[in-house]
Amino acid sequence: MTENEPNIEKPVDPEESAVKAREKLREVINALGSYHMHSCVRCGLCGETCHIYLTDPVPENLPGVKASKIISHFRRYHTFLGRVAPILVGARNLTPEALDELVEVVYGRCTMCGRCGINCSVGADIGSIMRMGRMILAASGRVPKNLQAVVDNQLNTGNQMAITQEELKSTAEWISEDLQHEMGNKEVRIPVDEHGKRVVYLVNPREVKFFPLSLSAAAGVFYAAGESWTMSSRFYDVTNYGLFSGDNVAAEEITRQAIEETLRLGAEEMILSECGHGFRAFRWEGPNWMHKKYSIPVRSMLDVMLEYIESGRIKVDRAKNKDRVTLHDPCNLVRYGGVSEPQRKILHKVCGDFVEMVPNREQNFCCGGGGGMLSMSEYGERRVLSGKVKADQIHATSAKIVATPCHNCADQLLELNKHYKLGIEVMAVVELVYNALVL
Amino acid sequence: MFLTERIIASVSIIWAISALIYQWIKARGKGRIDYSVQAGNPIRGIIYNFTWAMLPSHKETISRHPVWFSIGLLMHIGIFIAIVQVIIDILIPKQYMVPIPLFPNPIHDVIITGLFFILAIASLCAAVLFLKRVFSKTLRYMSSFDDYFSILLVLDFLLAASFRELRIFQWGPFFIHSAILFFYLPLGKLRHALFFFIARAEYGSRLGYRGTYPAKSGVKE
Ligand code: SF4
Ligand code: SF4
Repeated sequence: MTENEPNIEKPVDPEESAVKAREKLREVINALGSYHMHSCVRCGLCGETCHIYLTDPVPENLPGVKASKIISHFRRYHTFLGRVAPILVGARNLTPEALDELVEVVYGRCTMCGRCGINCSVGADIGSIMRMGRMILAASGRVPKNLQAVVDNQLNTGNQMAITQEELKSTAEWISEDLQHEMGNKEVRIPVDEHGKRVVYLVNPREVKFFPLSLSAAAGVFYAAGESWTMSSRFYDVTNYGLFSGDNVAAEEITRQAIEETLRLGAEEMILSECGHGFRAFRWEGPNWMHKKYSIPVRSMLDVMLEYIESGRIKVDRAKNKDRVTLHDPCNLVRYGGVSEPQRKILHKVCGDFVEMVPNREQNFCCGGGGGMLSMSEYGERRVLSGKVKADQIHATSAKIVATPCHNCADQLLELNKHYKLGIEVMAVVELVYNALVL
Repeated sequence: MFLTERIIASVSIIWAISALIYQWIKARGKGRIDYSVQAGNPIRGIIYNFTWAMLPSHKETISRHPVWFSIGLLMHIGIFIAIVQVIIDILIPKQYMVPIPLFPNPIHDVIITGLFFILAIASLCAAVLFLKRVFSKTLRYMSSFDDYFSILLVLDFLLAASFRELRIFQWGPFFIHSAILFFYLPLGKLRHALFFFIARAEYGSRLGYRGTYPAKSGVKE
């Protein structure tokens, strides 16, 4: 397999897989509507809104072109001219070959960041059209292997890295010991599987496996705030790769596991550690995948930390974070998630020198690692290239630290740091809050 | 006067409106119930998406392509005037009685001349956009027959409207040229005449619901 070549399991019965794709297309437009499919006018003005096009300006990377590959199939089966004279409106049959071609477009050339949509001359939500494309491909059994493996891990083991319950418990123990040492307090710890706590806290398994600092910092902040909290050893994963793969059945199951576990533990609230797509999945898409309202509130750790600071439950001193800090906005948290201000208010309170990237908030550029790109190694080269836009933004701020409320983004930023020699440190917001704590 | 042509134009408009309404109902699907807990205001999101979000400071397709955007805008202003014109012509046949090229009222004269220039400029813009589609490699890559045909229909409609202002065309031919456009409108990309508003409203509402819109900042800070 060469770079950028799709890495998928070939369906055993290609024709059958195409039938499933057509059924899914009908189901998807029935469920979600097709306003946006009808609205793109192929004006071609959206190229520069997309980080992938900006770094490789070929027509194939233009958002309108990527969307039109999916729309062409919609037109074929769901518009009058598409049915009677497909060639006139560029309508194409959804054949096994067309599906194979689509894989590279929707998984390999788009992170579903949604930036093109809010800048589209018409207002077509291209990010959502691209996800519809992924839903169709998932139904036809064409999810890239490495992405599917992450979904399978989540379904089979409860977390994307297949970390065992024992491993989680022992990690929580040694992080607790380190933290007790660091804070000089024997009471600070990471509670696991404790019933009747007010809060269940979900983390990215990456925090458990490779980057314990943010989990440790969260424990420190919870302790300082006097929070009643616990983690589950079974379903503590804040990520949901079903959102990326396009498999809503898997996405629903992953959501259900965590919600039911939180209820089983008797908690009143589920708090999500810093994760862009995890926030979008649990906060916005999850209830719709499950077709019901949650019986408990779900909030981002950012909201919770801001509440602690503003209510005086924790005291912070911005002089403790002296270096210049800038903020990367995760697309799914800010653009598709609506959370843009808490992180800024927090950083203004805990950092001595906080500067914004330009553009920011809902106009932020994707770091290049969204949409499950980090797990699809076949697109690695393109991912790093597309991150050049973000690298340039960071460079322009002269910041020493890039804070980002997302562990996926953090992974990509670390790689960009190495590749583009940015000389930065990448931190979660909670780590900066922890550093600034006045105990 | 021009009864047959007027009837054809009327039928084409009724067809376009009915077909668009049918498509709207179909495109709605089963209708989305959002089970998530609302964080913002969908109405404010819609208003924002039709106002601030369309300013160059908030929309890169404008700020990065001001010339192309202006050309497109001028063309659409012309289309709007021409549509109003054809509807007035259908509804108020009395004006047909004004002898050509008699402009007894100077204000009337100025209005007619102004409309002609706007429509002529809009026609020019449509021609430029057609040529862009023909000569731009990227646009060719993403275009089908519908994309070329639609812009040609618009060009034809705008030219017919300009000629009608100058009384080069009688109203009859103007009706026929309009009818061709309206008959095709719901079949191809021209249906964005409706879906522009619906998609923008839906997206604004969704982002308003989540609290993304109204956006807290401009692009620059
Ligand atoms: S997505 Fe929007 S900006 Fe891009 S080609 Fe389509 S209409 Fe134009
Ligand atoms: S959603 Fe993001 S990555 Fe995909 S085409 Fe649009 S701007 Fe590019």
